[in-house]
Amino acid sequence: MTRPARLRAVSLLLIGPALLVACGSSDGSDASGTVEVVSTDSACTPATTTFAPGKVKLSIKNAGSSATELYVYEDGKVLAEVENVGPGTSRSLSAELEAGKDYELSCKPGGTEIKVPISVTG
Amino acid sequence: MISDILSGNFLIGLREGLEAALVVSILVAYLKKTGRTDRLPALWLGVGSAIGLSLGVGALLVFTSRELSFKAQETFGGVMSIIAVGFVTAMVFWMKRNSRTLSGDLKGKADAALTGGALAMASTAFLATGREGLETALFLWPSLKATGYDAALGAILGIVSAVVLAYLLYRRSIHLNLAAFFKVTGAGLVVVAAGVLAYGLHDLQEAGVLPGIANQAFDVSSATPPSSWYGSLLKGIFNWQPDPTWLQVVAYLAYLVPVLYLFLRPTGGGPVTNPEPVAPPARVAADPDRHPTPLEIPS
Repeated sequence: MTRPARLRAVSLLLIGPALLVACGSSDGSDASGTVEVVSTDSACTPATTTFAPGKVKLSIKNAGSSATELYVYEDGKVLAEVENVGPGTSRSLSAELEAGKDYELSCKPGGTEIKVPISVTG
Repeated sequence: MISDILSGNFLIGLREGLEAALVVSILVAYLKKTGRTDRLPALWLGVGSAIGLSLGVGALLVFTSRELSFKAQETFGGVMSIIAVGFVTAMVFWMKRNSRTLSGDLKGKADAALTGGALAMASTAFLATGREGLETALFLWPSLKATGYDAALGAILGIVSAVVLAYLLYRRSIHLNLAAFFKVTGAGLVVVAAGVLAYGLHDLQEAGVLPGIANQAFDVSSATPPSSWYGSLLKGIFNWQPDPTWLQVVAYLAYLVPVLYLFLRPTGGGPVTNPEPVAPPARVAADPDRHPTPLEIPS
């Protein structure tokens, strides 16, 4: 195998699986670009409520006593969602935010919805 | 807090595991009851591959910190659910046909008709387990990543409890007489399938594939909180959702009422009134070694 061909084969091997699962992954600034949302029994607290347009990765941390969920609403419609976040655990989701639309985050500790408006400005 | 973490994760594990465990236990009981234990390996193959695939894909997603797009995940869940409903419904009417054959005088010779292709059995078990398998894996792996053991312990105990509950029901059902067994397990499967259908439609509505996500029929969340043990059991067994959309309610009833009617309608020993195409018993009896193809039995 020639060197460029081998390189291509190797990069395909690396990129292939990544592409398969990367549909909703972040723009590459993985660890640093993740915004944590803490969900307790009575509050839904994102680390920031101001976002730049583009892909955002949210990590929901369940600090409450029962299961919670995280929703991102765009103009009142579900844009992204993660369910079954057990107490003491964290799960993540990605969403594509655009300037000029209305966004809300929503935690559902124990099934009770707590909405937090966020703004997207670029 | 320790017990909160344990119990919170326990309830999710119980809920996620219960439905698949119940469907699989009914299929196992059915095969035992009809003496077709040679089909058990196919069934366990379906269950095992669904669990393996779910855990594998789930681990890949969780430990590489990636996730499926919301739309992809919901569409996958919705489509899997609806296919699963199709398989379970076919299985129920297949059971009904066989129960008639079994209770008639063909009992000794009817074995060949009871076969149900190994592939059909494996597929039904695979769908029943895999439908919620990925979501369960996506819940289980983060609990293992969590600080401390409580979350993982709760999650695993919940899933194990679901399996134990299903096993206890299996032990009970196996002692029923044949006619009662077919009636109870079949009707149970139809009710479960109706819930799966409604759940699948909700997934597709959330993904935007189907309209009407905002058209809520009612909301009784305060009466059956998802965090309560009974809310979890209702959700786990019947896919009970306290705030369904109109589409879900209509589809649930449009499936449940006619299918349950057709299933429970007595067909007795008279002329064939079953709406399903039925292979003439005489043909089967004449050739007991005949092995029906997978597609043939659950038509």
